[in-house]
Amino acid sequence: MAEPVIDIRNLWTRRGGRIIHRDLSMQVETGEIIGLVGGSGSGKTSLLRVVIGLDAPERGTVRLFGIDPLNAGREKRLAVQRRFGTLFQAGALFSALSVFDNVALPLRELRGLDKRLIRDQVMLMLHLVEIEARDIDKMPAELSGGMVKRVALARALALDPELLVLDEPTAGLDPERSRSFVKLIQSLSLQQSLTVFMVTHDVDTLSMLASRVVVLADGRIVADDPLDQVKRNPHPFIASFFATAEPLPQPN
Amino acid sequence: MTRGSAQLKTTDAGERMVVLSGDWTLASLRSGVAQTFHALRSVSADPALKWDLRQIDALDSIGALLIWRAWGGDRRDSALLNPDHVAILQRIAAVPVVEPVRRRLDLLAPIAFVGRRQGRFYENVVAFVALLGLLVVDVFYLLAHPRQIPWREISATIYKAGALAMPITALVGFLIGVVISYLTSDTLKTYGAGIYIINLLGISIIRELGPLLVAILIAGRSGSAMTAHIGVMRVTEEIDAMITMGISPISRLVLPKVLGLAVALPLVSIWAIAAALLGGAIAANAQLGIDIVFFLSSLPGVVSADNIWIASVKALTFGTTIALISCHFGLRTKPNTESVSSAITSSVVTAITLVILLDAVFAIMFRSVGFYH
Repeated sequence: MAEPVIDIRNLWTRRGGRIIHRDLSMQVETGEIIGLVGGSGSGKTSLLRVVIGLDAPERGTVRLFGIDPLNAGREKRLAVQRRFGTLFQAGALFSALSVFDNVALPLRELRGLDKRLIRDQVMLMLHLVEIEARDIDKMPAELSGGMVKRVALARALALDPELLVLDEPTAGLDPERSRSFVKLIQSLSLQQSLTVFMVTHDVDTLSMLASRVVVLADGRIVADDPLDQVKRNPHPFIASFFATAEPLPQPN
Repeated sequence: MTRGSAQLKTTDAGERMVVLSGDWTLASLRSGVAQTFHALRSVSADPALKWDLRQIDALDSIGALLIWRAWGGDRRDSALLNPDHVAILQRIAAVPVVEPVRRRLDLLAPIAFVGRRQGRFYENVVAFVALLGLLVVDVFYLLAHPRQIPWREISATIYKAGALAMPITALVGFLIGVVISYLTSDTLKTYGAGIYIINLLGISIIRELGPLLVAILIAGRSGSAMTAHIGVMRVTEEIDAMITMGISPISRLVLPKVLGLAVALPLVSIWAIAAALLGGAIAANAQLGIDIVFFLSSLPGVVSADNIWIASVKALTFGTTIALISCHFGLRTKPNTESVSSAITSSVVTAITLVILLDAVFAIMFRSVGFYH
């Protein structure tokens, strides 16, 4: 069990001739909440895509739960995929399915859970993300941006994943919802030893959740420490990132 | 990972107790969810039974839901819990119970369906007429302000829907020419009328098949692309962005497509007609021994030039219709991806149906034009 949940070794990725990641290495242990930070275009989302196996790295390996999904057989890859849930930036809800069916889909795909159990699990997950019962038959097109995000989070949680990969989870949520999101992740990670790997720009979310902050700049990891230490890092990007996040002085 | 299990024990104090142990998670229970539930359910009927959940190693919400359901959706305060697992059960207890709504059989549903269809048809007609009106208004505006005529977009449409369609229309035209010539030559030969293959191919291809074939091909090829283009722009709110910038989507998106197809379709039709006649001549040469040069040189003598004009007018009408229908359905797309696919289907089906309808109208209108009597 000492195996790291995510194990990235000497990763190089290239897109359209441009090198995005140069020799990245990092490990994420069980129960950690990692905040991935970087300027726009620094390759945060690309790294996320490589981690969840959507893009292949040019060089290097990415192992999830000790398995390299891209080079494992179909069964093994599927087993790994069932152990993590992903929240995409824009939600990526299936537009042809209702809210309920979107969350139920991964459970139904398992084949073998009975209808009642699926229903109970879906209602539980939707309750966790504060979606009310009257909204469960709506189609994604009828939802507000924040609701789409919350339904997508419910879908990512549906299989009780051990690893949650989140791309900008609080972008587009109002402050209150962001806080309840933070609380939800906190309680889940405490009880179910949930590991979280998230890209975020939100310093509040970072400071409340992240046990470690990884900063990407110029294709490299320039910091990989708890937030307090990262804040003291003299790297120009880090300095400006946290400087703008400080509240502006109030008049009077 | 040890699979979750349940044991019935009797404690020293003589109490009967259900002891759950192992991993109660989706991953470990997956294959045996139903059996586990029934096992739990059968013992849970006894309210005197104590539950001991302290030996559970890992509990996730699926596992907890199973236990919860076995309890009949009620907390057992007497249950002994691992402190780590209290919160999970609390979360489940907090979910309000909502019974799924059962859909009742509605006997009037088929009638309502027909009515809704009818309503939607009229809505479409009204919206289409409105689109035509807006287009006319924009045309007058552009005539008054010729600097704003979207030449680039018009030429892009001519290139995409016309020039790029040349290979496929030539191929299809050529093959149709070969097939018609090949199939009719036998019949003509029995009557010794082989030479009439020139009249037959000339009239049928120039007047009828050329424009119709091209219209159907372009409706499938460019009509669908136009609907998808405008539909996706609606989904991504690009059209709304255009409107706020003061750019009329009608004159920037619809008009160039309509004008472009109106120009392209007659040209492509003539091109396809040429390919079809060539195919017909080659097949006639092979089947009936008619010289290709003779075939082509006697064509003007048996098919009046009016037919070329009829073909062009038809093609122009078809092109305008296809573009208008495609833009109409594109603009009526609702802002979700599901709606785009149904808009494309409606657009292509409606365009092809209308083209065939118009073709029939043309056949009646021009019934005494273009024949040598």
